[in-house]
Amino acid sequence: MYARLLRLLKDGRARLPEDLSRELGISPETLRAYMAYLAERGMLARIRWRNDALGQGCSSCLSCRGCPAWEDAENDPVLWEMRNSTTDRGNS
Amino acid sequence: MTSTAGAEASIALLGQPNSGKSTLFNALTGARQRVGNWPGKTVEKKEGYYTRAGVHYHVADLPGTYSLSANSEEEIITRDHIASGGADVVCILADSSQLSRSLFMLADYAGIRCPAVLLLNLMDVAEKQGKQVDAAELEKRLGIPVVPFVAADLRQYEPFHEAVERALKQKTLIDTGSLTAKYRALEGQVYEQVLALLPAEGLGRYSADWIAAKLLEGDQAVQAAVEEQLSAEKKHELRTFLSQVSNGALETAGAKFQWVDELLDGVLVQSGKKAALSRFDRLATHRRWGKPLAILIILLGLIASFFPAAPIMLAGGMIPQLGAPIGAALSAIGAPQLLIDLMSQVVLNTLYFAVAMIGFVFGVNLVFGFLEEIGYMARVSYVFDGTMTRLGLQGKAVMPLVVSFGCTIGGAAGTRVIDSWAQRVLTIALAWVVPCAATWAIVPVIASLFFGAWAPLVIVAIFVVAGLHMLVTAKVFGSRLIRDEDRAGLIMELPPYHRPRWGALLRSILVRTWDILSRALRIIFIVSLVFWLVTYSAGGSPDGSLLYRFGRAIEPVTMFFGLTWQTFLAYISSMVSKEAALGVLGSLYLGAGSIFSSTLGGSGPQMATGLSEALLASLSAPAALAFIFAVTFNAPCLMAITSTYQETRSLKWTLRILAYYFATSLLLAAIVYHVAGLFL
Repeated sequence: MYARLLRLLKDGRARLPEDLSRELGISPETLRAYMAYLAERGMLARIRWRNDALGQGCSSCLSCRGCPAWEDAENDPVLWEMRNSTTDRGNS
Repeated sequence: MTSTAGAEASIALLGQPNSGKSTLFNALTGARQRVGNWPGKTVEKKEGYYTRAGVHYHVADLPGTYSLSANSEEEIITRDHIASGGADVVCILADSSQLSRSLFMLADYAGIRCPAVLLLNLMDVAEKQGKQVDAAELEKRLGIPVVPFVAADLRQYEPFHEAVERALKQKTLIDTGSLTAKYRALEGQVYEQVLALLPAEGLGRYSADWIAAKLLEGDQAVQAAVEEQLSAEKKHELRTFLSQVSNGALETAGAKFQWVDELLDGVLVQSGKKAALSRFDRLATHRRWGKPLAILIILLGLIASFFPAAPIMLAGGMIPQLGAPIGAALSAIGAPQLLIDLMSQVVLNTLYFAVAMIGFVFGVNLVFGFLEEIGYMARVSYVFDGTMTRLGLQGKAVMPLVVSFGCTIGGAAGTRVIDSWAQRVLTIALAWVVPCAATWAIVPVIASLFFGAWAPLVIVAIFVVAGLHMLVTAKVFGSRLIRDEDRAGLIMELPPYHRPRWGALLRSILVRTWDILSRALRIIFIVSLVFWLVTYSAGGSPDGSLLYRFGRAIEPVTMFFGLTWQTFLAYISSMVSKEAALGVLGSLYLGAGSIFSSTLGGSGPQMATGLSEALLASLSAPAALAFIFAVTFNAPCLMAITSTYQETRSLKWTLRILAYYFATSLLLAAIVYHVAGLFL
């Protein structure tokens, strides 16, 4: 399943868990469980975009008050990105 | 501890952290427990006992672990305890509210030849989530007793006791047939190859199937134990083979999750409401229809923004009318002419612009804040992901671009989540195309003035041009920056739709609107003042003004782009701040009056009762359109330029992007001016 997942994500497109689970032939819940497993092992990184990117502020801009870039991060999509896999058989 | 026919038995409680082991342990043993350490380890060991129907049960609460791999001391202790015969029956606890995840432990256990019982704990939580589990069917599939359970509810323990007794009596082992089938289906037949190298009978309580999976995972402890049983030749063969296996742990884990998925298929039923919203979401996230729907919703949103804006803009239009009475009042009290001019020409115009723009800023923020608040904007970023890919961008670039609608600086800073420097540069270069909030503060004011009810069409045209601009910009910069290996697919989890929290939404919009208004007031006032002073001529003749002479000199060139020298200077100032363009326009068309009257040959303030009239009198519709496009697609602002340098750490690329936008915005202005001239 891991190799298939890598192959599917290699095309550079974003996929919803529902779509990806259909492509992998498993339920979205199982896919989420597998994603959590991969994330725990550092193979999948969870990006809460606004917090990760803008948490340190916006370089030349010092004023966050009223900034339109700072919408409620709860409404952001959560992005999961595959990290480079190692070639050893472990990773566990 | 070993069992002696019915009189004594050992139970081991196995489960992931928070699966309810300790609750079960305490309920079973009460005060009859002992806490120490596992021999030679610092890991806590909890043991106890209880008696039931004449049988003395020893209970071991094993450390909470996520699997039975040799990743941690806890995991090694856990599996060693089971493998060494420390348990006659293993009670595997799973969290019923997240079975797909917590049954991984069961999958990892499958293949260990020790009787087991599966306890579906936290059934009450699962039921509250609308989940129902067919435990009887699951039991049939697994071949071991399965008990729906709430460890905290002592009244539900009878089925547990019965299941333990049954497991002990019948020596129930997990049916691993379908799990090994998943292993066998792994690419390259790695599982079968490693299985062929192992002793068929396995190793003690570990079956050959279980060992093979662990070897593929790279479990050193299991490998060492297996190698002790092999000849030197087989050992070498095994080592050579295993060294060639890649991602074994991830692949076997995938097989285990697939097995769990199959187990739960039809066993776990989620009831609940989906209905109409799901149908809408299917359309909103549809690969083909999601994009046109998003475009339609955004355009309707922009048009809708004009409704709350219209009355505010109308009210703002009355401000310049106050010039005459205020001027008269100031004259009456003997105020100097400079102060009267300053008041009526700079202060009132500043207020006019600020109020005129704020209506639309409020409208845009209200509409897009609402779309964001209910969770729809996340869908927009998803459906446009394919476009990102075609532009050569990573999926992660979509969020910086979405945020650039608010502020380009935020968009540039947002590229920090992109690992590749080249992708970051390309994303920032494209983020500059996206019209920021300040653009929406200036463009609708001018568009409404010149095109009235057709102003929304100008906005639509800006979006169409922005889309084409992005394609061209991606081609121009992409050839140097895009590398295929930088593209990485993403899994995108969308937030659920929810009702807007109107109070929070309005508060945030008002704060933002006030912030933009106060900043615009400051910028427009300062810019207006500077330009007003530079062009002020008490005698009424601006001919001596350096700016006027400079303007007149460059106008033959700037008119090629559809820009008068005044709108050209406003365009240049928009590189510092979009709002500044309005201040420059105000000063050059109204300020000092003399420049305006000289330009038009009229009589100054008498003609220009308001900037609206002044602009309408001095600019043609094509020239206004050229100005709108020049400003919209110019460099966003000085802070965004600085931010681009800070994020890319490249002066060369920052200047390259700046020069590109300067040139393309003028080119666009020229095209718009000459094409519009044919029709307007």
